[in-house]
Amino acid sequence: MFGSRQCLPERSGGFAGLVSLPAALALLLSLASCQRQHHQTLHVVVVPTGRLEWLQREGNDKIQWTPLLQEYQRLHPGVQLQLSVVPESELEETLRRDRSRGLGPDLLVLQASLANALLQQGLVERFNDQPAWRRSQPLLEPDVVGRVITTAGVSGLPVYKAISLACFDRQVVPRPPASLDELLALAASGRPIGVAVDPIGIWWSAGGSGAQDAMVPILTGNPRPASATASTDRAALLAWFTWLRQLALQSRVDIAGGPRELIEGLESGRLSWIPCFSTALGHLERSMGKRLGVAPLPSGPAGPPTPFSTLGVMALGSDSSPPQRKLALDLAELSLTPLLQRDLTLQSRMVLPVNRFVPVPVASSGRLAALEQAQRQFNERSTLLTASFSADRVQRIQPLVEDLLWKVMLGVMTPQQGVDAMMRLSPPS
Amino acid sequence: MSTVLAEIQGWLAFLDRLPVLLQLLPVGLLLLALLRLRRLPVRGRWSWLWKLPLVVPLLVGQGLIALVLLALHQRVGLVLLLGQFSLAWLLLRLVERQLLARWLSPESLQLLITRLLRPLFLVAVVLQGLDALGSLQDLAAVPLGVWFGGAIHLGDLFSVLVVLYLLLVGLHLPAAGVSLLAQRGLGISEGSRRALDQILQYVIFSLGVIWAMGRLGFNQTGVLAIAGGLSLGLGFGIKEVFSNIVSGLWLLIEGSVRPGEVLMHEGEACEVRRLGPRATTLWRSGDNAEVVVPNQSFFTTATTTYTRSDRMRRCSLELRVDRTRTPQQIMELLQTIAADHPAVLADPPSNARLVQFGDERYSYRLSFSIADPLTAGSVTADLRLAICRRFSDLGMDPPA
Repeated sequence: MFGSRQCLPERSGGFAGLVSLPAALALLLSLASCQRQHHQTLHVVVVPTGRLEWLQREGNDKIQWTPLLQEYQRLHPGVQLQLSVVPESELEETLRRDRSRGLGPDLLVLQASLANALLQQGLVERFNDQPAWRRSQPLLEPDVVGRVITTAGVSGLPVYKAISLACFDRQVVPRPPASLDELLALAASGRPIGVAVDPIGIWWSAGGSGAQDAMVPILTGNPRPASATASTDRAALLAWFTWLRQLALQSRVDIAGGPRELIEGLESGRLSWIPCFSTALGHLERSMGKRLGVAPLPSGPAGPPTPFSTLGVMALGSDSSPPQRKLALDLAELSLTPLLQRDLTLQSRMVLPVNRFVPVPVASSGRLAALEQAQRQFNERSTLLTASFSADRVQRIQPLVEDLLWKVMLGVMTPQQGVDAMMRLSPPS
Repeated sequence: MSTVLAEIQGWLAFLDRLPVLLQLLPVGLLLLALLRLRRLPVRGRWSWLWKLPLVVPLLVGQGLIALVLLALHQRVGLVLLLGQFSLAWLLLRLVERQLLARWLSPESLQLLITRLLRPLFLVAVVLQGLDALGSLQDLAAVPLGVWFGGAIHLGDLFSVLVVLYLLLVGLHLPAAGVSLLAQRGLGISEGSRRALDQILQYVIFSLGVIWAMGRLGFNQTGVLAIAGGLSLGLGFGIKEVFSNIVSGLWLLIEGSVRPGEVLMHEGEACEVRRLGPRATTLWRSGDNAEVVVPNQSFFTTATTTYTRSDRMRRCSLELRVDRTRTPQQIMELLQTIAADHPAVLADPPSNARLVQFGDERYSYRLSFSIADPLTAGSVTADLRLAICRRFSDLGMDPPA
């Protein structure tokens, strides 16, 4: 199993002979040498999107990598790829523990924001030190490159984009709502719809209400742009909160605890329209079949929605030996090749390519067209995820904002009280 | 299975990393050096070192290695993990020797150590090691195939085996506790308590097996297929085994042979020590031997028991005495000797009878009762000796 017999030391003199210091040393080193000569193993950790970790039990995050892994193994037949899934909530602790032992992964596939945070903590290696970065950077869209650059360096090589959009039951909702008013009308007509107060579930509606620019300084802690004033922010937030309250007043609107509740509601038929994240589409398609409809999220009077987007990157582990590092870089670089970028998009139909020379084949797939349109909306309007921010502040402020949105939607606070409370979370100007 | 082997093979890749080798090599060499040092003759001044468990110097050495690596700004997590294993082993040894040895008999302690504590320690170390090398969750999700309609994964199989093993070796204590409570609460006899103990163990283990089949996702058709296979097997190879198991269960339910009872086996009084699934273990007091008897023998042959309704046993001995004294004198003398023995019960009283005339000697039978049927042999021997002594004191010929 470990290669040819010549690699193992010859036994001489039974147990006493074997249990001698030189023999033990030779055994350990020969095992390492055997491994290096005949088989190489690349340890890859896949980190699912935070609130969709429960989908990992289906191997959802492994399936989409199949074309890339198959191609890699065709090019490197002696290399065995060991994929493991680590939930985002356990990642930092797992990496710290493994790093202290020298057993960390060679490569991580995760969200750019997470990779950025890990790079700041020294848990992944800088990618810009590698020649592969210089070769790959020209292939990437400029906005994508900006999302992996931190003060500590480049956190990883972008591989795919995922985006939030609308999922609905075609049998109940023949035509998806294109605007916030149409969504209200859909709920008023008795079709059950679901929203949640997390980034995927409701924040998209801030764009259509014009509250996006007011929310960015609150979430990131960055100063308000010169063009904005406190009064314009207040007005935008009030419009958003008023719409949220109107939505919540509809009897067929379910305010769920998170994406899982929404997805399970749509699968069971309890809900007919939900905001969903593109990486859940494979799961939904398997359970709903042709009933599943996908569309961009509704626009509002102030413009298109501000969907939530993640950028999948490959980051380098910090424990690899030089040969293992080379293999990891080969895999990362291979993932950017146009053919594999196209395969990744077409086979999964859940993510979009990052290679700017790979067009999304929107003509042949309505779902990919919806993904592409949502991504365009994100690029145009969602300044939140492209702005530089402190991960600590976002982690601290997000639960407060979610709690506030709950209170406004449930009527614990009036929209005006909600605006006052939200403005108190603004950074000092 | 190939996935598991590939996973294990993948761990060897870690040996390619310098930080891993820097941690494993010193610890491995330390362990081997300690093993070799132990073989050297004990030195006078340092003899106390040889008396320490091997794990103590190993633990100290691991600590020193960790300090050196830290000073060199190297990784120490693996050394600390191995140190944790050494420390856990040392603590386990201390608990075994210092705490448990005070409360438990040597036999119970040995059973607890070999069947529960050390296997659990081994499992915990293996799981910790696997978790360090790879993802336990991923390993648990490795598919092993579809058995009787259920998709079996390595994790499910492992957890089922661990639970069944724990039930098998650890059921004794809770079952004994419940049966003891039942004895105190309901006033049942000692034999019934032991029977209840056994039945509880069977019932809980059977429930465990049913849970295991459910956990593994066996469907009813699959279970029926097993039952069908077993029926066929029963007809041929394992008929005797099954017969013994059913006999054991029946004996327990019927209560005809229970742990603690005294019965005759091949002419010897034996105490039932354990009624197992296949065989019953008897203790023969005469030579302190344990006799393993298949349950079926009790089921198909007549059994003499002295403890069915009470533990009293009526014993007798026969002797021939010369005609120099009247039969009335001899019978009174024999009854007096019997009454003087502390193990002979006053009620029912001892009884001596003239059973046969002879030309030179008359034959007598002395009957007496004792509380513990297993002491029949020794009490009878005591009485024979006492009769000889009394006859000698009275100037009579010894009885024949």
